[in-house]
Amino acid sequence: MKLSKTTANRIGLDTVLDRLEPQSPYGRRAKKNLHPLEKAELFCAFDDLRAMMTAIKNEPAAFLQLESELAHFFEARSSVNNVLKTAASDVDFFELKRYLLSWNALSKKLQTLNPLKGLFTRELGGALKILDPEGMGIVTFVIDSQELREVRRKKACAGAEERSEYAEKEERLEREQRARLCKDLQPHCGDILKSMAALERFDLTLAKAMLAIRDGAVIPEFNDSEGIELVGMTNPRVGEELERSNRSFCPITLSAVRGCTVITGANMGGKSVALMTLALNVCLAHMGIAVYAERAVLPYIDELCYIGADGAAQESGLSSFAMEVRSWNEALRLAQDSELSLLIFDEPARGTNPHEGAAIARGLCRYGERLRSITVIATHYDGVSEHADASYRIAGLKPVDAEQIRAYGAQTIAENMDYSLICESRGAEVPRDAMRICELMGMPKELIDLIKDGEDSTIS
Amino acid sequence: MLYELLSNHRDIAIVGMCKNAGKTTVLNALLKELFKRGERVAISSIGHDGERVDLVTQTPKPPIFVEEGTLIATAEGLLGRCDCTKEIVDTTNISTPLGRVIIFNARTSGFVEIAGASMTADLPSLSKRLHRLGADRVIIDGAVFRKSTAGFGISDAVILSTGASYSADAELTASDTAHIVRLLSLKGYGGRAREISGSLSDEVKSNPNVRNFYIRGALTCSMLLPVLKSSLSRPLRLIIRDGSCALISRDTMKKCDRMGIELRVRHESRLLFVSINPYSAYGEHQSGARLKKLLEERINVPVIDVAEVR
Repeated sequence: MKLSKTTANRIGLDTVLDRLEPQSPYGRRAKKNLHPLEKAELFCAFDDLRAMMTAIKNEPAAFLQLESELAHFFEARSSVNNVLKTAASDVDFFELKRYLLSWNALSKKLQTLNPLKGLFTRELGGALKILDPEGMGIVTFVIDSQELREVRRKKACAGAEERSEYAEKEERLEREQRARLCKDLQPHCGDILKSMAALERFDLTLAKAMLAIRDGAVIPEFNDSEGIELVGMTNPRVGEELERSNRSFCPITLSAVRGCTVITGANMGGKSVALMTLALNVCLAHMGIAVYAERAVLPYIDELCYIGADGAAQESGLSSFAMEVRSWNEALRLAQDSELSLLIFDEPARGTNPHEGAAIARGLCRYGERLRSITVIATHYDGVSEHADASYRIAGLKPVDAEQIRAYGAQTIAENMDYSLICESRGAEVPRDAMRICELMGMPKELIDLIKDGEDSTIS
Repeated sequence: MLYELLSNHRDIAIVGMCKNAGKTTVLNALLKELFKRGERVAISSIGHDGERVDLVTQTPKPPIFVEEGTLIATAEGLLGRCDCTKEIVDTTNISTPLGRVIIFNARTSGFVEIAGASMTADLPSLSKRLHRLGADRVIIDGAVFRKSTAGFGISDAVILSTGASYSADAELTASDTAHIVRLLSLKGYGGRAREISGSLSDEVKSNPNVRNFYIRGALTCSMLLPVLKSSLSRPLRLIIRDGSCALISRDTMKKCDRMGIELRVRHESRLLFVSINPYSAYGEHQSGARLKKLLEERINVPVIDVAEVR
């Protein structure tokens, strides 16, 4: 699945990734390279995740211990590369020795605890012996040989003049010994790199599993279903914001079918949040990360396009409507070229006149049915859902105490909104909560009467 | 005698009045003395030291000689210029222009060049690590005083090096050194103080009932000048982190004294002694005995001539 950086930022992917905490530099590097996966890789990633979550639940203490051992690893890849170039320094040998000591200790545990199929877990005793011939197991390194010891002994007893000669000889012997060590280590570098790749895979999978267990996320089911089904999905970023004002995220259940699904609702009704939450969880599913839902079933999606209100309009010099049209054209082109895409439109044409805007939204809905895509549109325009294959409404404002609203304003409205999605019949009318909100927020009665008058005359 | 002056201070910084003030000579003398007493020492520096030739004056500089068992924290790029047998014991994330700072144990004695952390913020963690690796004492070859607010912020003890390279005028060298000694000997103050967020003079003016002000970072002459020019209605107490943060001249200090502005510190430094180097990098050598006498007339801290301890 392809996903743009703009979409990733908009839907709150960074909040989830911030919670993902691999412990070693290898796991952290793998995390930086996280991206939506090809089908085969994706299924392997979830096999790994499933196996790891089961293993952790069976032996939680052992895996917590593994986590803390991973934190003691240092990056040593460049040292391996220097050995391969026969250009390793004393510091490279030290870093390799330190790595091998940590790896050999970890590999003993991995041989009993590892749940991942085909993971490299072999000890690298041969490589370690080259850097620690006496098997002392101490994390220090000094370049040494019989000849060097002799020269150093003579240097220590020498006078000032002779000393510099011995120092030169020592330097030469050290250079030769470094080259020899490089040659001896080179045959082992393949296995050392395999162990580092194993660390990447293990550490990242462990981090994903810990995250899923801590946050109650689930492994999604992939099949060639007709649509996306997400039961009780949540959004961690929005959840964190709500917690700051002692509120909690209302889980959303949505089935988005092939063709077009429409979500309607009042202003401040949470339509955008519903769309972002859908996009976030579909994205996580395609990155091999557990999703924030009670259950998730979906097909493999090639392209995810999320088009909402675009703040880049001012930078580009185009009007916000022109930016929208450009984004739609791009999304529709990508949908034409892909096997299956997910197109999400958040209040399309909201900035233009309502008559044309509604027509555009209806047109998008009907066009969506002709594409090989799952299209989800949030709109407050009338007449769009009658063209949709499925329709939802945000439940809306609960019965509220008008006095409380007038006293505490918009915050109280937000606290009294029911953000859950209700399945509607095709063609159901868009809810009319805007006037109610105006009244509750203390708009002057004279203005309210004028608005109502105007509304009545439009209808008549 | 040097050893007794160190007392039981575990972190020591050597700072200089100028380049070629004899810091390295003092360092070498300390290392020799501590080795004789069976102590394990770790050394590092702020910036680069131990180079064989002064890049500015092209005069030879004494190299740093370490005994077996000394721990050295220096930039990776300088390892090749340390001719002792190096046992690498740790790497750090501290960057310098010459690469990461690496810690090694000298398996044999030899000459080293050290370039350590450029930022004092890195020193506390480096010092902790060196102690954990077995160092009884950590000696930081610090910056030239006044070139930075750095060098010994964390050290509990300081050695100040001065000498003929500072000025051809021995009286000036003695007076300016005495001024720095005074800054390094500022008394501690742990009481409440209002932290300055903008200009010192504005804060003093707009808080007429406040006497104690804390200045984060350096206190400079230009910060004090507007306060000194105004008429103060009450005595002031200006608190800084430690003596290395006071970058003010003798004249400004005298004006502060006259106006009742007291300087204090959050962390007292312990000035162990002042070393003098009668040899000038610029050729104008002086009499060690005279310089010592001039200093002893002005300060109440031991004065050591490096020529006598070499």
